[in-house]
Amino acid sequence: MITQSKVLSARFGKPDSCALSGYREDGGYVTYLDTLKTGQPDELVATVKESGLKGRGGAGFSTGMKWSFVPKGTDKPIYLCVNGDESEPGTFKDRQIIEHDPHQLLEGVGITCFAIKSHTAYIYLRCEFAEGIRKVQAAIDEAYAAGLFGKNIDGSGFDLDVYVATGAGAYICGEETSLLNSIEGIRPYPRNKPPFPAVEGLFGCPTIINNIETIANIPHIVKNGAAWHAGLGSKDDPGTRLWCVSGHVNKPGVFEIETGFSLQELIDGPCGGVRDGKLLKAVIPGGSSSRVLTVDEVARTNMDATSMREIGSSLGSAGIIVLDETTDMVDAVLNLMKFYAHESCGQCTPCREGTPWVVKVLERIMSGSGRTEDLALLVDIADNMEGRTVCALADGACWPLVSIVEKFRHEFEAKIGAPVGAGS
Amino acid sequence: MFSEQVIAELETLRSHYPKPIAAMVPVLHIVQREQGWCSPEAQAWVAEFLSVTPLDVNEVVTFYPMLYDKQQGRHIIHVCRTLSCDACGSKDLWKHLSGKLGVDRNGTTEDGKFTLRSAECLASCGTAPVLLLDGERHENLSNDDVDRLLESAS
Amino acid sequence: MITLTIDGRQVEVAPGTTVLEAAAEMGIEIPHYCYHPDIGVDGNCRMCLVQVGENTRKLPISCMTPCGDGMDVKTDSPAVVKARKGVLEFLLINHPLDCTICDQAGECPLQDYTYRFGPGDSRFVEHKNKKPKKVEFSDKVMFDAERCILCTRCVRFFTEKRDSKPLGIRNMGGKNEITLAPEGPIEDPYQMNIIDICPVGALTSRDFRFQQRVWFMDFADTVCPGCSRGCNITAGSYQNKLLRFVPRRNPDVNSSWMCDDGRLSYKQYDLAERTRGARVYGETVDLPAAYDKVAELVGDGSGVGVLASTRQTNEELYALKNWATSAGITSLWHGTATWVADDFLKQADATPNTAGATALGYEPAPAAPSGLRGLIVSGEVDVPAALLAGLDFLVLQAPVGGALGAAAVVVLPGRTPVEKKGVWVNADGLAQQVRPAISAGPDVPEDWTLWRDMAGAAWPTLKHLQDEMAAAGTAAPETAASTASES
Repeated sequence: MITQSKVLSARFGKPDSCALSGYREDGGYVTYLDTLKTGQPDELVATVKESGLKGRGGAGFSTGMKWSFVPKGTDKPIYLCVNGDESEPGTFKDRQIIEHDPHQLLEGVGITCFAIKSHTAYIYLRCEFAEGIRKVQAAIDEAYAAGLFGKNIDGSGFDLDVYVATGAGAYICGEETSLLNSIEGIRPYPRNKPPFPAVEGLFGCPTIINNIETIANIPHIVKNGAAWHAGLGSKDDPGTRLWCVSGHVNKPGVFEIETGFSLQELIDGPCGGVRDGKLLKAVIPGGSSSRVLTVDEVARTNMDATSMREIGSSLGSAGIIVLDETTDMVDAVLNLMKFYAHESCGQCTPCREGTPWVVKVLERIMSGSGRTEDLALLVDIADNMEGRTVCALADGACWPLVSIVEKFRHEFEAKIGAPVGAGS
Repeated sequence: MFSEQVIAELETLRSHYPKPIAAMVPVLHIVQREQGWCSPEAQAWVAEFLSVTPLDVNEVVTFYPMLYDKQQGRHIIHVCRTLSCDACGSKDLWKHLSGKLGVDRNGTTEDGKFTLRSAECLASCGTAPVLLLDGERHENLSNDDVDRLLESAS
Repeated sequence: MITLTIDGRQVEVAPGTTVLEAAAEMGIEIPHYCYHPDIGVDGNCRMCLVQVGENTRKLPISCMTPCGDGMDVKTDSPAVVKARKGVLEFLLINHPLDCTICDQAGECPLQDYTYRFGPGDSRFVEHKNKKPKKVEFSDKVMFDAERCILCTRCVRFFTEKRDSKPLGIRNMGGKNEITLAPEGPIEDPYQMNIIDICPVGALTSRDFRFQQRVWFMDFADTVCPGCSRGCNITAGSYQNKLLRFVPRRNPDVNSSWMCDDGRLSYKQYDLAERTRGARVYGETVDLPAAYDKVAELVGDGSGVGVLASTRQTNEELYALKNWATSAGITSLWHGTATWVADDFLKQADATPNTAGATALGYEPAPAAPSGLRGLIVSGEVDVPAALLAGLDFLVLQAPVGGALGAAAVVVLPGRTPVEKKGVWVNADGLAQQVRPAISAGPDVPEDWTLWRDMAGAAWPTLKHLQDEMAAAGTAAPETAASTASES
């Protein structure tokens, strides 16, 4: 039985949930102002580390540890960038936060900036989030007007400016160093690492980049304590998460659940099962950049980091895409590979050349001109991309590609050598 | 090139950053809001406004899918093509729209009213299929919904 | 110092050295495109992948990996060999099969690395991307976008070395393309350097376009005669006709660069007419007869001056001085020629060996000498009008006679700077070897032999002359450090 939580999503659906007044009535910004008064940055970082909070953007790195990489005693300005570029196929959770409870995000921004000694935060939102951009900006304006942002906040001596920055339609800008270049106003190619952003990031200064949902957790962790958070869900990736379910289910949507639940129970329970009484065929569990799960694997998958590692996939961005028996898996993987090829920034050789090549091979297979050697070719192209590039976009393409080719091989073989017109 | 009010808006954006070039994308969005696209003249104007070269602006405009260096129709439609929408009928939606408007991908109707483009995942997979009309999201679309949307556009 | 192991061999390097640099120090070549020692790193081509430790899934790029103490690097493990082959395959799948019409063929790092590290045949059976193929970046540089591997060396040459940005990158993904700034063609006077650093035939010289296949050409490593910077160059010729100058890397002199004017200056050495043999009063005579006439004219040497071109080599100038001294001539002058200097490589002195001439005792030609009855001019030099006034006789020893030759009593042949062997000293006092790229043809002996024979000196070969110069402590021909051209 799936138990849904109401931590991050507690205020979604409330009338005027975006307004400052409502947020404060529900106790909002108390933790923030207390932090400014009596908080200690180093202690806050330690608290977040102990809470076990991992990044909710997809990479799942320890948030507190990332914060601790900011050099001590630097005389450069420290920046916080909030990653609201949410573009991983199957993922639509960050948008819920900015459209339904933007002040929760802003309070998280405020506390985070205090903890990492940053006085300037950029909330980077993809331009397709027109409503979200309006709501976040309106919330920022309210916060400034109420003296929650700006100079000498609440007499604490702490200054903080928060700005909205926008993207322009490129998935790659969700990669943290590409996001930095996007904010800097140049072509947003990812950067080679090292140097890492915590040391040399925005405008060459120490920078922390965190996902929207990650930051939204911060007020709750600081208010309720590290142990509280560490006790929620599974040990290896504690807390609640906003899980997105889309595709062939009766009731798609976003569900806040503690980590560690059964994927099958989520699909069958709150999601109402596969639509139209159809049979399940496959699930891509972590946003498109994760390895596909077969029906058998779905039945034995718990949504925690360890189980996922054992079954050979990942929690990723919590974008669960459910595909039923009517799905042509070759067409599905072609759809995704076109995504990656379209979104490749083109900076480095393997991704720029490899992702479109994969599309061309798959198109040929779809049109009936596939060859037996094409399957091994696809897997080998992936082997020459994965781990050879500047950033993980190519890796993200390789995981669904190889896992779908391997686990649904029979569908590819059926198309190969078939006369033109068949199998499309 | 722009009204005093718009320039004030641009100057505010520019003030958000320690280097003027960083206002590039927000400024270009305003330019596009005002003029529908980023013409060579507008790019040159932005270059001067941000103390960079026209090439610096052009490099950015040509990179991003949602910045246009060619004139578009009065209304731009972006239909999501990625997997969840595809699994929930976006191919049919596209066929319907493309047939009704009489254009292919990136094409503009003869009367200059609509440009039809595809977009990658618009982060609304739970309400697929989804499109943007002039940047605003419309979800759970049937062909009839789409017809109504087209009519409501002026 | 940091100690690490590369391919099983230990090496000690200074902190900050990259793995690629450390390997190079050990003589291990790690193939690369976007890195260039004189431009820097970009990390986009992924050719220089190496294996560090046991991780074969993630291979870092050696150009941006700082050496770490105790690191175990493999540049040729199975994973690296496969990954490298994979990168080359990726580069080749959309690369047009232009070799048969591409000027880069034969000196193409894409061809070379493919042959050494790449796949034997193509697995790509799809349609290749189409991009613009004959884009005029300027009247000097042609661009082919299909051939381009987007290493961005061209863009970075201008931004890193020239503080300008005439080139950028447009579009996204597979449509990425090097683009001209909207202002128009490249105007930078060093732009042709991007032709050399382009690893493929995407950027080619419009001057050299379709002239000749490099494997049919002859090459000489020599020095640019254009100015006193003394940029190291390789002069390419075919059937004794010069076709191009390209820079040769020398970190102490010109890095990997030369100016476009110097690069294109090879054309002036294709002489329509030149002096062959000797002439006295316009009539052809044999050399001994010409020498006798010179001796007769010079007499005891009083009232006679020598004006030498600073394009002459040290050896030629020494031999000339040796004869002049023996002939009683005490006025030894050198000419000057200037052009506009810049803040990069060009020196105001538009000749290559003023320093050598000065060190040998030649002085700048005076503004208005008195009592000159005769002038001996050696080499291609502008003769000040003041020196010509009131002369009884003029002797000219130069490649071309011209107006001066018509006025001269004795005309002797001479070799151009691309036909000489010897030493020039640049503005920084660096002595560099000059080597002939083309042959002067019949009846144009080496300049120094003329003065030897006139003086009756005992130097059977150039080496004998050079040995005497060394013994006399005169401008020791110390070869400047130079490496093979960085491709």
